[in-house]
Amino acid sequence: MRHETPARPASAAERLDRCQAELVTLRRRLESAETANQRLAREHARLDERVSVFTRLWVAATALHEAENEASALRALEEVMINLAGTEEFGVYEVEGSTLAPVHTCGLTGARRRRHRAAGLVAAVLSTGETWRAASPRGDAEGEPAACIPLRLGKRVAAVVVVWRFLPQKLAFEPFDAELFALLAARAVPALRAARLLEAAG
Amino acid sequence: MTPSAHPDATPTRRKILLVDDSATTHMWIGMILNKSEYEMVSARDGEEGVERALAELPDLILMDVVMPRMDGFEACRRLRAHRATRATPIVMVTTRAEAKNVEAGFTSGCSDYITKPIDGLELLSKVRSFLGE
Repeated sequence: MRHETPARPASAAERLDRCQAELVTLRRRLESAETANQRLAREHARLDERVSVFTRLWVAATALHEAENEASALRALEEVMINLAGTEEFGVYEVEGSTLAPVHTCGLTGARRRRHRAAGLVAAVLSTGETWRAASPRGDAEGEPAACIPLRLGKRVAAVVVVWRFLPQKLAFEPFDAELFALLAARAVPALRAARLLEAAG
Repeated sequence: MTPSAHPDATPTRRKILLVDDSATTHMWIGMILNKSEYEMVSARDGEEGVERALAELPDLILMDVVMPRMDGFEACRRLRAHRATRATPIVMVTTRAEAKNVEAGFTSGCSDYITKPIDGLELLSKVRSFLGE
């Protein structure tokens, strides 16, 4: 009969060493999980923001293209400018050569509500066809627009939105603003013309 | 165990009344609230807002200020005069954030306010806070 020597019970010191090693491993895993969690949280926030941008763009495009006559298309444009872009004073002008003919204004008085020749920043925007905006919604200089969006029909600039003032609580531009202005530049005039045609067709 | 507390019962969606004459605001807020599983009911002016609030008894009301027929301040005052809506949280949704406008809102009985352009996260945060979520 063979007798085996029973295993020596681990001493308290050995067990403590094992527990400490396991604790180190668990702490590393916890740190790794926390890092992954933070990365996923950042990604979630980024995706949430993108969903928010796309949703607002969808709302703007839908509002513009749902209009069945010119008045409701202009009303939709006004709502988009106020509720989504946070504008307070702006005008929508059709471009006739170097003259701007107002088709809709909000909060404007005096010459800005009348036909006038494009000058300064607005003339430059008509010439380049590129959207312009000041460094902040407060505008760069007194008497100058805070933003100017050329509205295209194909490659031609057919109209322009000149924003003279944003709402006081809008303290900074956000990435959405650039995307909204790009959407308006491409889609506002086709939507207005389509609404005008629908109205004419009865 | 009451029927509403049964584990298989479908949880009731909290009801929010949006009173605003802007179609874009209805679309935008509707998408925010529906995504977060609230039920949204709508009214297009203050007068309709008061009627719908009394008929639907929402958990919370989002109220625009400048509207045709009856503005948000007057609608708020009327809702506060009714026993059924006296305690319903009313959040004003306004383009004007100046002190006098905010004060006028609180005087009329609103619980809080948010400004346009609406920030989806801010809106949800206020809604959840008022609904105790």
